Amino acid sequence: MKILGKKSLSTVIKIFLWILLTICLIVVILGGIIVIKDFSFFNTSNTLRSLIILYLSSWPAAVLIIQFIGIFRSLENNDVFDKENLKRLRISYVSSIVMGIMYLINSILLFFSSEDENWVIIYMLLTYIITLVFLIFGVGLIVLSEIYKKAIKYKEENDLTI
Amino acid sequence: MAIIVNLDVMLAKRKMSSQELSEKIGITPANLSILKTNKGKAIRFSTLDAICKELDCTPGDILEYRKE
Repeated sequence: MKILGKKSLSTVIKIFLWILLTICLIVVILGGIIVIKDFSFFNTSNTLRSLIILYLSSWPAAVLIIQFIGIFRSLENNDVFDKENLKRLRISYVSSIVMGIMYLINSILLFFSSEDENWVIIYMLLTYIITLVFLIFGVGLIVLSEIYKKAIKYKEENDLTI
Repeated sequence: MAIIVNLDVMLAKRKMSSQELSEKIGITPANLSILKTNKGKAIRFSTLDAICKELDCTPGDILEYRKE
């Protein structure tokens, strides 16, 4: 399956990324309003804390998606090995690790929580998995950005070979 | 870099313009300018060969090593 060009997945990927960004921005806007306006709705401290962390994590998620849209756009323009993309990858791994750390804090706080309901344990396990996914993704992006840095260096050398 | 390209000196000695040399050896004026201004990272043997042929000189006349 082709990713770029005619009869490729590029349109689907672009639409998918824009839908994700729209969802993220809706969460960023509406989530903030809900958390600020209706504190009393969340009867337990766990729910409120988790919701605040979920809300805060939507910010780095939006940043991450914006970077991916930029990277994909440069891929379409055949301008991949660009220092701008390296910057985008760096912002992406920082965002991913920030999200991982946020969920890690949430899962640690849930671990020490006094509530002993089943959903707390299941939610805690889920948060650990999400933490791991984002941290692994962030580390993967660190490795990828270093490979990218070397690729840009080789490209520049090649461009300056007369 | 410790390697200096003395292409402008050789061009002056041969009373040839950069434009003329670039046309004769078949590289773009922009690439020749990169070479002349020491911004290049490497030079192909084929380019060096063409420059030496046109300017009637040796690689040593064009390239110089200066300790940093």
